[in-house]
Amino acid sequence: LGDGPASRGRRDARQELTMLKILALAALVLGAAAPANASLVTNSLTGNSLTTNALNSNALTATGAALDDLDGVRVEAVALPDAAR
Amino acid sequence: VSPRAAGLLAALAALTLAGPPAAAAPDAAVRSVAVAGTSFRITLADGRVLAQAELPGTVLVIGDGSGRQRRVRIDTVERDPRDPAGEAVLYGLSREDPATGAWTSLCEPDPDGRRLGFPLPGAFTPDGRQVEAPGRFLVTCTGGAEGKCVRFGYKPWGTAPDGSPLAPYYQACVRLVRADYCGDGVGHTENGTPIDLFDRVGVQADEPAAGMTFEAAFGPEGAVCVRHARWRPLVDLDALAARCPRLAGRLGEGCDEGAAALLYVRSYPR
Repeated sequence: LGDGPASRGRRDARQELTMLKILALAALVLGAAAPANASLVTNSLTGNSLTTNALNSNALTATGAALDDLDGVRVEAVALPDAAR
Repeated sequence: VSPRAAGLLAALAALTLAGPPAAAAPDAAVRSVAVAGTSFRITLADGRVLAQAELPGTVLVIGDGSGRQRRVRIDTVERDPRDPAGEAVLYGLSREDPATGAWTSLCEPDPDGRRLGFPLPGAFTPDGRQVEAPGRFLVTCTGGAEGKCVRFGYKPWGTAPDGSPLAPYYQACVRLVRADYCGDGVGHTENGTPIDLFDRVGVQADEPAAGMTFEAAFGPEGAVCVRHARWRPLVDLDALAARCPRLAGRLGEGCDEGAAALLYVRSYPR
């Protein structure tokens, strides 16, 4: 029962319909994704971001008060870690 | 001082970069220390240049030639993730309290909350001019104007996409970030004030930020013109005219993005 040519035909038709639904859904998803992706490219966080376009907080202190002694200095000696020797 | 640190300090090396050797025990292991870009370059006596990954734990004895010295330790090394060229290096740095021997971070937290710094060749004069000084360098933190301008892309040793040398742009950037309109080393802003800077050489794009208005145009010597001050309570245009006679006639509505300058900045009217 249910395994005759007519039944197989209905089953094939259902499978085909399911496949069509999947393809339609995929097309819908891809269609929706494309504009969103384009939007990200043209108005993205990277294009006008804190890093690229320098919308940064500034700093009044040039190098930081703690570094006043480290301007125009030179290395007068160095001690290497053991691993670097 | 920990036994390990004492052991390291006992092996301090006099360096060819430094001119006259400092009062430290010589160590034949190190031939020289140089600053290239934002990185320390340590060359051993056998000619081998230490890889950056080998530097953590290194103690640099830094002086200004007066006899005063500071001990600065390299704790961490990382590539700057904001540098598309991958050549900028950032260091976690500590300095030793000479009285207690305790090590504390050299840098205050930057806007990202990180305590990082790096060396730059040369020096800054009191009036804010970066000058060449062979063998010498400054240490800047990522939260400081000098550090930020490198990370904005104005590497003083580099060139812009259009081939322009970036050294004057770097100088202009430091003036701009500090709102050093007069170019005398005096800033007119507050820490944490947002700004949006841009140029015409392809480093920082002109992408207006909502709510910000054009503030000023800058060159290496300070502002070329000023439309409005970043912080009026700190200085207004009348005060600027008095402080900076060269800016007379270059203040107010006549100053816009069309001014001949290297860098331009927008800010929120305050």
